[in-house]
Amino acid sequence: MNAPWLSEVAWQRTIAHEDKTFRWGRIGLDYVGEWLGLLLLRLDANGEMKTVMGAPDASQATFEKITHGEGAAFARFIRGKVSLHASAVEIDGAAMVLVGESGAGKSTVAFWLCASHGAALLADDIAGLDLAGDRVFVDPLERALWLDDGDGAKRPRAMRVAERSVGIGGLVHMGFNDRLSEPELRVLRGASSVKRVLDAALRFDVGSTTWTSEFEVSTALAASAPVWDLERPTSATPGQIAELVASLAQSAPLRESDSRTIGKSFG
Amino acid sequence: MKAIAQVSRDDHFAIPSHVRCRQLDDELVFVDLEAGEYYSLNAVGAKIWQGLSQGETPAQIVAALEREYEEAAEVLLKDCLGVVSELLERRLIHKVSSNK
Repeated sequence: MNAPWLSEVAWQRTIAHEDKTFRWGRIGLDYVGEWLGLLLLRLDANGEMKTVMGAPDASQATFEKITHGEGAAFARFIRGKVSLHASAVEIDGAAMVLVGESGAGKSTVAFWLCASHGAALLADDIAGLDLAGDRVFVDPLERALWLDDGDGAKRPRAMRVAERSVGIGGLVHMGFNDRLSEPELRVLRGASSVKRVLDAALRFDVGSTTWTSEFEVSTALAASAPVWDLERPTSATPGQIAELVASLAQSAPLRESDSRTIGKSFG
Repeated sequence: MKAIAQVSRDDHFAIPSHVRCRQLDDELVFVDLEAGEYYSLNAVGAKIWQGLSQGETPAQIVAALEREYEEAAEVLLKDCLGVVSELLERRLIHKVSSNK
């Protein structure tokens, strides 16, 4: 990439993760984040975007994905906001957040929730969280789900996107366990539920900017919404898992529709 | 070998400003904001923490625990001093005074 100021950047840290290499640095008070060969961002000291440049070889779809995903998470991190490596959908007025290792099937289950259960997309890979009072909301960041059609290459699939931030109704940690014959669900409590949130939190090694909000968000989420571990055998279909997650959303205690009803009864 | 912080039953402690905590169910989750590290305490540990944060000495905390748990006072005191010592080593509390 050929930003005229690129040679002046004092690079601080390079992080290689999966198929991408990210580095960040400072130029004066500004922050610069670069996903090598994909995207270059320049942000002011408050995390407000000043420059967004796609690499000449990067496709428009890839540019969009990084800009609205990891790029947005980097800017949020500078602003002291928390983002999770997670898929998320709005279903029945509640945000269901899916976390787990890469390959755990988060995007695929999110797709089935959108396609078969009327859910709207909040996040494919990066979920931006915000705290309002003691409740945690997911901000809609990403606009497409990237799915593998069976040939190993992920391609974007446009989905109906949630139009506003949605209160979290539950967080599900997904994993595989072939010793099981059926999917198994376990409710986590206390520190175990906070750990599931923290394990998914994105940290860019830019210092302590998010540690206070990370603590507030993770503990508020654990206190206000159920956190589950969902293990399933590889034979369980994404449709089955989506059905299960949809049923959890139905039982979520913090559905938006509920809070509206309460508001009306007092209005 | 790991050094064990010296604490006595009559010491007073305080929670430093870089430590934040929250009770979740019967556990306590807390973070060291300088290091970005998280910790948790079980129900008994949470009671010890709460006592320390209210200015109680380990002896006073143990007196309260004795009323709640069927355990010998010396066992409770040993456990309490162990927790306090570890919190001190990790800079999650600091000693403010000793009555002795």
